[in-house]
Amino acid sequence: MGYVELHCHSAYSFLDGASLPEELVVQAAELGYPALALTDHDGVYGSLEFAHAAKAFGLRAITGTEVTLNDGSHVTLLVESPTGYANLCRLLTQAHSGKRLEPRLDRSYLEERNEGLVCLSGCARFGLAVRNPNGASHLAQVFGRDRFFVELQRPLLRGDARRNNALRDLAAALGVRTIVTGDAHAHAPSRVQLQDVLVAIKHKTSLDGCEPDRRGNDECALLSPQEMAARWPDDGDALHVTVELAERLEFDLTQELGYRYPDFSDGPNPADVQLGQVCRQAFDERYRHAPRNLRTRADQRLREELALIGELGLSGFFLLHWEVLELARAVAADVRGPGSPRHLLPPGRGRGSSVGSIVCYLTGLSHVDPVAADLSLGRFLNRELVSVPDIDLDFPRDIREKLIVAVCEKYGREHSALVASFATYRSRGAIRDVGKALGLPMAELERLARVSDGWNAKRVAEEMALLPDGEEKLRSPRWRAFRELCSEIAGLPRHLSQHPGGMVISTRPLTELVPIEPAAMEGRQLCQWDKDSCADAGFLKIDLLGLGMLSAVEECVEHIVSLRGETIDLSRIPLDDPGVYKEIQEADTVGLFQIESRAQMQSLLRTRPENLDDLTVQVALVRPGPIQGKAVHPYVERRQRLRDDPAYVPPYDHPSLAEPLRDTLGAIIFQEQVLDVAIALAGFSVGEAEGLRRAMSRKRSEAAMEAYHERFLAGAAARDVSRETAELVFSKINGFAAFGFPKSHAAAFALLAYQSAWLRHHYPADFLCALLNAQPMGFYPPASLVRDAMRRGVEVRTPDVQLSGAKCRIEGDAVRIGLAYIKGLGEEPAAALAAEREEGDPFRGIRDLAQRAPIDRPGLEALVASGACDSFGWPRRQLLWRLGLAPRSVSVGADGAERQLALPLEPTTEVPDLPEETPWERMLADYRTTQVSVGMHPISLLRPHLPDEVVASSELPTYQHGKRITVAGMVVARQRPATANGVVFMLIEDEHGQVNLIVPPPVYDRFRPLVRGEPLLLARGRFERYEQNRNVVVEELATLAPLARRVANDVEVNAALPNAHHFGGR
Amino acid sequence: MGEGAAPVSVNRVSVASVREEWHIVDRWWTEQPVRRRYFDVVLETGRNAVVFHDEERGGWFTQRA
Repeated sequence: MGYVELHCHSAYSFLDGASLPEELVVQAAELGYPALALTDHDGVYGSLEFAHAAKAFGLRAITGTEVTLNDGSHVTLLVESPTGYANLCRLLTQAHSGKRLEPRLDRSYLEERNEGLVCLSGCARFGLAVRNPNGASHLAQVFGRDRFFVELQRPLLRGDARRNNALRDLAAALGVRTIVTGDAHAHAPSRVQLQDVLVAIKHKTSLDGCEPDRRGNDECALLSPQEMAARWPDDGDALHVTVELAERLEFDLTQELGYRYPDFSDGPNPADVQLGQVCRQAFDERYRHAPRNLRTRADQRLREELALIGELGLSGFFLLHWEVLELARAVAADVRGPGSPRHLLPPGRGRGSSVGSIVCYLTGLSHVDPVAADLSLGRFLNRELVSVPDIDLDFPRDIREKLIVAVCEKYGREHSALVASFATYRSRGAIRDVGKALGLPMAELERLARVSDGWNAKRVAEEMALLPDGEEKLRSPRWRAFRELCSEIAGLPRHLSQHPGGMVISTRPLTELVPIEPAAMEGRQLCQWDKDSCADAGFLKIDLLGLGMLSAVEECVEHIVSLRGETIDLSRIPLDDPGVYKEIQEADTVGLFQIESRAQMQSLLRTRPENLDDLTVQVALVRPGPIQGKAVHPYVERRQRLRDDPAYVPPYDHPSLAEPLRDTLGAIIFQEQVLDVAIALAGFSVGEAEGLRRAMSRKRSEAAMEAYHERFLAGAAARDVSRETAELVFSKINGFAAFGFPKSHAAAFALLAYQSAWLRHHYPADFLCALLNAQPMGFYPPASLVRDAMRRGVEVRTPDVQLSGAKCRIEGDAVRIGLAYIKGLGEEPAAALAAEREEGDPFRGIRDLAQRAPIDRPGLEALVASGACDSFGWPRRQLLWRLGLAPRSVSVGADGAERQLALPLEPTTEVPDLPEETPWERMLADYRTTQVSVGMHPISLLRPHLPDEVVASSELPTYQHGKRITVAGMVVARQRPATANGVVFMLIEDEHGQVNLIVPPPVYDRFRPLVRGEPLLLARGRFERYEQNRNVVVEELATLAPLARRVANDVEVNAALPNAHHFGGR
Repeated sequence: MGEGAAPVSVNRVSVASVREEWHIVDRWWTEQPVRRRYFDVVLETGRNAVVFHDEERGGWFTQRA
């Protein structure tokens, strides 16, 4: 007896399905199914992933969904044809058009758009036939006997027999057939406990608290056809219908989607001609004054590219990007306002491999002349292109926000949407959600979450084993279940979220290709697929990314122009400023784009970039690809040798690699070099090399990689390359994978890195101000940016209600911290306060402020605590007292819309003599309320109480390599890169500067809670210096918290200090 | 009564037919997990009975129908 499962949920039913589509596919194939349907709740989120996975395993994927109707009942819909799929997408879009996250479909829509769909009457618990037989009867009439079936399920719960008898009777009465389905929610019985936990999470309760909502047994796993036949001995026909139907449902989502990106065929000329015109017009402007040689080469390149684009049928694709850029120009003009000094700046910048294209340069997609910069088109466009190229556009955040809405308006809500992303379970979320479901103590869970790895939930078991009471915990079945379930929930999608900026645009209504639903942010809408599914669907995705540094650079330019009257055109600043390169070479790069991290700084001291080309390599160097491909040390070492001996010739693994790897001294640093190496050493075609790159990238398929490996070895052998060399080079390529920048991307980032360095060098206060206003971004918390700027002579002033705006602003050559930096105040109240002062009189005192500023009491208290009211001339405690006495207007009337003004009475109570804040209290209040402190550094306050052996960071330049050393500092950043074999890098800061700590794995294991959470540390270890690089290899760590508490007269210190930034795992 | 199979008698009265079978798996996260296989049966006497096999502790038990 055959059987095909036609009702199956994956984890894309969001907290009502415990297995990924791939897991279901593999299990179904093993159980001998010829086909399988995926019917997630109210969506097709995982359908394309499922369809591709199924194909790989020789299983036929049937696309479907279980949709929730207005009355809360469910029906299962299966796609029979492309029309059916378009209808399904429209129906799901309609279902999501009401209240967000509560999809409901009016049955009339389903009746209207039934063509090409098959309807099953729904599950045992919520099925339409169970809940509303009359409704089922209506649908049976609309869909007809061939396309409507009454669904029989047997979850082995009490009442199955009676319900199924009633359903058989209903089917007979309606003249339709019954069909058996399994309503699987897990690929295997071992995953069913997780399904129980997911139900508890979904209902925001514990397992004990959701008994009525759980299934009550472990029967919801995917069963084999034989097991299903045994479960339904008397329903042979209803079993057989599944096979019959599965054969009929031939729609293949991987082949029949029918997407077409805008091809501009409605224009006066063909798209090829239109693109040519756009490019030629820009060409004349850009190259009018170019040297003849460059102009000729550029002209040749343009002809070649246009011909290739025409051949690939991509003219419409580039025209669309050009159109979006034109739209961005209009949005930028609007956002920046008339006469803004930012008008000289382009609205955005291209990144990624598009920077290598002259068509992109001429259409405004990139701002790097690829001919002058000698950038290859390589990966971006070639004749063997299998999918549309990637174009990423970076915008300042304010322009991006408006542009997303403008794109939606221009192309229409039916034709454009944002790309989705799925928030998946990582360790902290898993610990909290699974632990809460199991009813484990919240305090214990928080303790574990704080010391956990942060990323991989599969490692929670290891983390538990390291707990002092880990073994004892595992005696309890709850904790044992917790350990197993955290590992199982790892990587499962939890909910739908928004991709940082990807948008899809379509000629055919997008609502017929993928369902669309409202995003959390009002006015935005999301499609139900993530970037991988959108790419698999061949959708044209435009990435409109918000880049904090672009916002900062724009704001900085605006400050300079408006406050200093100097005009700055960033595209014309000198690119060889020695002062700028001196700072970069000395790794004085805090706050700069891309080259500020600890690892970058260490590398800069050895590579010592001298020009933009060097910076381009530098930006690409400290990335997982080159690190894993073992390219970093050879490059750095060869660069040093070349500096010492200009005649030095770097070694190449094979003479054929001299050309592709010349610029990077024999190391693979840029992504396209992977392609170039495969072409040069193993004779790959461009398309083959691109295939290799794809195989290495997002879904690393071992089988595919092995096939490329064999092909690589064979190709190399045919060119007389020894097997040993071929294996060596392949291992480097394999290590590099796709985790590196294309050169063109690195060039775009290097330019921005230089521009940020140039602005910081010449206008340090303006740059700091803009950087503080663009937070959060970058490697350092604001406190460190401020300390660094102060060390380079920038005066930073505390927030002041009489002088500050909502944002940070420039006062002469100083930076005034903005009121919005005060925690607990909020940006809008801060702006309202500044407006009240600027439009009226200055505040006469705390009482006047309390009465005039539209700020609640906690906000006013935060203002006082931060020192923003110090200019009223009273100590902060006295100000707080006076604030408590200040009468305020109150809301009156039925709806509270009217205000009763305060009586202007003077307080009758004397202000008592309150003690002034100590320097400690003041410093902690600064950090607590604004995250930054411009006064004393905590370590300078602690210094007199530290052991004599403690060395200040300023003494390190004269300290001897290999000596024992003790240092103390406030933790600024912690890093546990996946590429560093468990080593943790920490950056601590004292009153003079920063110190690098290297924490080896055994030391990390001993002092884990200190490494992960302690803000003030004392570190003992061995001092290492290699040329300019200075590190402390830690042997022992101690917290300074008890000492700080003692010195600060028992004030709690740790909670007030700023949080360090964490990178990678922890 | 056989383990795992349907019961053939309840309190020495033969089972005439099994009306329904269901499973309960619950409290697997506690010290007292529940795993039972229930049968709603009609006895030869015409009386209904609900019996279950406790798969955690072993043994058959009757429950009010």
